[in-house]
Amino acid sequence: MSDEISRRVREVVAATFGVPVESLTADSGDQTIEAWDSLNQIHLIVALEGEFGISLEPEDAIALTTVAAIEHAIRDLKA
Amino acid sequence: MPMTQMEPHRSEVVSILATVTEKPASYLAAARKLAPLRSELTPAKIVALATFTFDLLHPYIVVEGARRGLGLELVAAPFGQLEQQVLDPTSMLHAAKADVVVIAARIEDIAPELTDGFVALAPAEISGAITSHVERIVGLARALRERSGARIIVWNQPALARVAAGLADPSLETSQQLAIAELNRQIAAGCRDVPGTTIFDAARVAAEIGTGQWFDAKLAHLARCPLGITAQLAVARRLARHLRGNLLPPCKALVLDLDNTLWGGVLGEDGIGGIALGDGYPGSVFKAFQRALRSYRDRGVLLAIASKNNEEDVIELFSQHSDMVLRLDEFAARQIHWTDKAASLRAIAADLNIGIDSLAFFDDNPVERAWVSEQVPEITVIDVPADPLRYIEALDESGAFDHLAITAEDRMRADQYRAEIERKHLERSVGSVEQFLEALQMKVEIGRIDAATLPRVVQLLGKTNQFNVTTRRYSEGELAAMLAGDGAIGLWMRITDRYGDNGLVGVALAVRDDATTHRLDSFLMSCRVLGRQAEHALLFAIAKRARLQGATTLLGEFIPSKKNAPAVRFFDDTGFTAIGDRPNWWSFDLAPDPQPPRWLQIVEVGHE
Repeated sequence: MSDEISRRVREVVAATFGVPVESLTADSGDQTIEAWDSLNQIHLIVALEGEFGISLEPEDAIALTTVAAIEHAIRDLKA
Repeated sequence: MPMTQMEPHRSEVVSILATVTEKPASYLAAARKLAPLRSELTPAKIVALATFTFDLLHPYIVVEGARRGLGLELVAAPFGQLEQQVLDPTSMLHAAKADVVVIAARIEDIAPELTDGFVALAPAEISGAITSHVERIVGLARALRERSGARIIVWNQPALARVAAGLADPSLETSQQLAIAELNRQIAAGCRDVPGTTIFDAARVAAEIGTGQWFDAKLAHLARCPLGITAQLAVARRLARHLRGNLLPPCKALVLDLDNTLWGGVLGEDGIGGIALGDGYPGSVFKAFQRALRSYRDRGVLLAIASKNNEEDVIELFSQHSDMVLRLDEFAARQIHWTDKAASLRAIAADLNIGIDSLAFFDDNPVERAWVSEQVPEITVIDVPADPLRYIEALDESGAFDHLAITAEDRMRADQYRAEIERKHLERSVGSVEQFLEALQMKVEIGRIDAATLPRVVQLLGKTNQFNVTTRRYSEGELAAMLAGDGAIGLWMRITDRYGDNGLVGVALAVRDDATTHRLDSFLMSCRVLGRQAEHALLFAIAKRARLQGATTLLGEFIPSKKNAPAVRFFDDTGFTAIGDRPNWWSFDLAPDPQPPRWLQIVEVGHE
């Protein structure tokens, strides 16, 4: 199940920032991806909410700055 | 008429758009991929002057613009800069040389006295506050008009998420709700006097999706964009229609497919009594669509037919089916035959004496749509959803027939064009079929009929009428017995293409007449895969197996029926020779080993 979440998270991240999905690791984030700016952070939040049918709390949403953090947050919400 | 070359980049745009779902991530990915392909569409530069973060809408507007033939480049001025951008000749707005400027100013952002401060206003002050906001917005448009040749689109004001007086609002002498309606009326009146300026009805879009969906508090505070994702998408769609209306002329004629478009089902297979068209579901859906088409005709749109069908069947249906809303004489032109639709559309444009770029094409079949958009990129191909319940919406939202303003000329009736046709000689030009078929990436699987495939084969034998050379029907028992015969060969064919799996769509049966002769007992294909020369692959596969059994000749027989006219050319097209003294009999020389068309990837399953 968690592999499925990881796959979908990485697809959303790849689509949002325009990077190849294969290039993503758990550590990929705003420090490693140049396009990861504040505007794209908002796109990311909206895209994640649309992909998983969830609503992120604002504090959680702005803290989602790595693939690992996103995967963790989605698993918590989906648990 | 000049031939149109296939444009591989244009087909790239079509493939990218095909990946877009309702999910935001798919828009983000598609918008990125579309950016370098702008010049394949009608390119245009859009500058937004907004009081909120308009940038967030960019990916959605780019994708929805591409769906309407526009290669949009969007630039948002820093939010909140309105007058600065318009009045400063060195501003980003003027440097960008915009084709269209969108002014999106919310009273929540720049006229607080009309929002949270509303209850503090004395009734007499309300009209002053309205006038002052209207003067600011109309003044912006006017100042821009004096300094730029760009088209101007001005947003009006949607209902507020919160009314200051709460429940009391509707009882006020001038309610806040009515004040906004008055504000919108005055903005529209003021903009009518500014040439090249139209109103984007944000109030209408917000009403369509609901005020609760329009405003998103989280995005308002995190991103200074008050529009939720549903609103962003709805705005993008409607704004793309506006941009199309500003940048491209409206289409003049709507060319319609028939089967599964004007009615449910396939006339050639299901017959007049079997198609879905009537007052109950699902026939009612198609009837409603026909009524919507009539409303298009009433406002001056020409209707035409491009269908692969037998014309006499269609004429019979129009004259006999009591639930047809549209009459045949309401179509200004028609092309009903089995040659390709790009040629049909060119013929229709010539018949109606209008440019090919004035046509919009509506067909439920994605392969036909792809073929037409690649062959004749100037044509507006409507992105028809799989669900007929959404046909009307798709047609409306395409914007193909939108006028920014209604003139008397727009109301011109369609009838006058009809006479034109009778005089015209139809010219058919053949496009690059092969390139199209290659782009379809067809995979053809061919295998021996076995217990698993027998039921589907019997079903196809039983119901295929059009591309069926003998129309012999068999039960499962009869077919199994026949295939058990010495030398008998029974093959099925399955076709997959880039649009998906078409399923098991072809059957060929051959029996041994003598040591050197096999005879084609049955040969059929489902009509939805006609025109791709897949029949060559199936024929050559059965020919090869006959040769392996020692045959040198394969005989073919054509048994004419009321419906199998489409199959009559099969023997000629695939290399059979007519047998002089036996009408409707052909022979195929098995000595050569003909190769199927190179665009077919052939996979033979279960070699014996």
